This record gives sequence, C-alpha cells and structure tokens, in this order.
Amino acid sequence: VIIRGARIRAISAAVPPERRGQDYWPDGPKIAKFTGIRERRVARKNILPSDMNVAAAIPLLEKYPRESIDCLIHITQAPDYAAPATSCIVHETLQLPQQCSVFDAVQGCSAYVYGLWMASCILAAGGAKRAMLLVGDINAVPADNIEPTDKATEPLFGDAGTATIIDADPSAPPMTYVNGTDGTGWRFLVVPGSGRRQFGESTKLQMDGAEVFAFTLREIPPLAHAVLAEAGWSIDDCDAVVLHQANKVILDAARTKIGVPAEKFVYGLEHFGNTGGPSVGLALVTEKVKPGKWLLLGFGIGMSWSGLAVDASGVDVYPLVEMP
Amino acid sequence: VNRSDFVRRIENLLERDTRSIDEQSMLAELPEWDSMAAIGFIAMTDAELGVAVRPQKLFECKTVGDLVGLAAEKLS
Repeated sequence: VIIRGARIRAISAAVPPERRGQDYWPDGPKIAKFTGIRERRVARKNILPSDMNVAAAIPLLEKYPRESIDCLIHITQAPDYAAPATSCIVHETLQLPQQCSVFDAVQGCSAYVYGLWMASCILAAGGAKRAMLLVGDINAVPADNIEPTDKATEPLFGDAGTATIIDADPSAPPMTYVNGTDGTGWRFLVVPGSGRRQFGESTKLQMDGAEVFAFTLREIPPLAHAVLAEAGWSIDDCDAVVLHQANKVILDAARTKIGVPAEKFVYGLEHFGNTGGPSVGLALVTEKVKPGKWLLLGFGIGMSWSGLAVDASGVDVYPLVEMP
Repeated sequence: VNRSDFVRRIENLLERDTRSIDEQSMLAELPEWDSMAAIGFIAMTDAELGVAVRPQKLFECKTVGDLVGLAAEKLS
C-alpha cells in the first residue's frame, strides 16, 4: 500500500549502560564471528522497555513539544503491566496532553516498521496530527527472558528503546508499505508462559533457529522486491537498506539474495546484538544512516513482516542516548 | 558440484581438516555439527545450489551422506 500524507520527522534511540560480551561461552570467539555480535547492551533488572523508550523520547521533546503530540503508540513484548496499557504509564511520565490518543501494540522483530505503518495510517486518515512511536524490548540476560544456558538465544539478544516522531503532512513523500503474516510459524519463536494460555510454563524465549532462518530466506527477499516494485524503485534507487538486525548470517544471506551493494547495506550488530522490535530504528541511529531513500525491513516472531520504502530526506536522526 | 565436492564444502563449513569426514560419518559424532552449523548448512545450500532445505528434513539426517542427499537434485 502507498500512504500519502505522513512524514517521519525524527528518530532517537537509547541503550542501557551494561555491556555483555560472548566470553560466557567457551566458543565465544566462534559465536562472535558467526553471529557478527561481539557484545550486547543489557538492561538491569529494573529497566523496562518503557524506560528505554522514554530515555529515547526526551531529547525529541525540545523540538517536538509534548503539547503537540496527539497520538502515542507503544510497542513492546515486555509491557510494564498486562493491564493497564504501558502507553498510559508513559503518557504520565512524558506529561503528554489529555487530548492525546494512546495505545499499545504487540509485535516483535517487525515492530519498528510495523509501528511506522500504524502511525502513518492514523495520520494520513486525519486521526491525529503528530504521532510519537515508541518501540523497545528487553531480550537479554540478566532480565529473565532468556535461558542463560540456551545457546540458540543467549548470545544474540540485546536491549534497546526507540522514539520516533511522525507528522501528518499533505506534502510528505509517499510511503510504500508491504506487511505480511504467516501465523503457521508462531511456534518457532515463543515465550510459552508469557500470557494466559500456558500460564505457569517457562517465561524464557524459545527459538527454533533453523526454522526462523529458513523463514527469512524464503520470505524476506521477496518482501524487499515487493516493496521496491510497489514504490517503483530499483535497489539502485535506495541510499540505504536497513533490515531487522537478526544476526550476521541472516543479514549476509538476505543481502546477497536481495542483491544489495555492500555500501548501501547497514550492519548495526557488532556492539548491540539483536534488539528485536527496535532494531531497525536503533541501527539508523547507531550507524548514523544518512537521510535519503530508505528501504526498511522488519521481520520475525509471529511470523510477521513489514517493509517500507520512503524518501526520508530531512529526517533528524538523533545521536544515541546512553542511559546512566 | 558433485557429491564429494559437497562433502568437502561441509567439511569446510565445519572447519574440519580436509578428508576428515566422508558420507558415512555420523553427525552425532561430529562436535562441530551444532545449531550454528545447521544454519550455516541451510545458508550454504541456498546460496551455492539454490536449494531451500527444510529444517525438519535437516534434523532427520543421521550422516553426512544424508546431508548430501538433501542437495542431491542439484549435484552432478
């Protein structure tokens, strides 16, 4: 779909201070080489995605005042509470105006691009004038989402939050989105005890890495080409291609299959790992991606995917917020 | 690429010495055959032979020869 009338204004990201390397594993150097991940940022026990998202949002408020924000979307797999919506809590923390519409959504690795789509639809339809999109996740040890002895997950994940301002703007360049879902793959990435269906079961992420990898090879290159075709772009038109930062093997394979020249393809894994939902936004910030014609692709748990082609010239990419 | 070339590629993927494995080698006896190697194998067959290996089939493999069998249609 092509959405006209919404413009990305500014992107910010925040990470917690603690670093975790791969030395936990006897074959740590091999893991680092294979995954492309040398270290991750890991949230302390009491830091939640909403805290990192708020840290990312605060620098934006100077240029995009809180009174001007009339829509807040908060996306995470680790909410403050199952009820109420984390967006209401963040509404208090950021002292947003009462007229602001707020809601939570749940997506994982597709969340950043998916969230842009949600915000763009609302703004283009006249539902709000300025949206703040917050996407963050905690995935890493010592937060208790990962089994410390599970080599399929422990070496990969890091923690981060992002904040993005999107405005209603009739003169905005078109945004071309392609979303998709394969619900038959939901068992390949699941936290069994995270909700009510299997209450009391494990609260650790379980991943079938080979299935997730096969999914990526099957679905993501066609997604890239579908977005480009709908936008009327070729890969040469793109200034930067940013995929969900899953791991180096997935990124290398997808880059080759899509046919992206190395200089346009963004890797943001080495010091931050796979941060799940916020990874596309985080990579734009940490790799200081120049605003221009961007192809952004989010994909993963669900299985769920979302791709965006947009001329992002003029977007403010803020410096990374290092949390104390 | 023939079957024995492909065995050499598996050897390379597992970072093992040349001719240290053959089609009869049992995967369970190769310490290098782990979850990373499985993903590396899927990546290699996809990139080099255009074969999309189904993970379920991969985990049914007992020997190196079974792995070769997954790509047999594209091997000479």
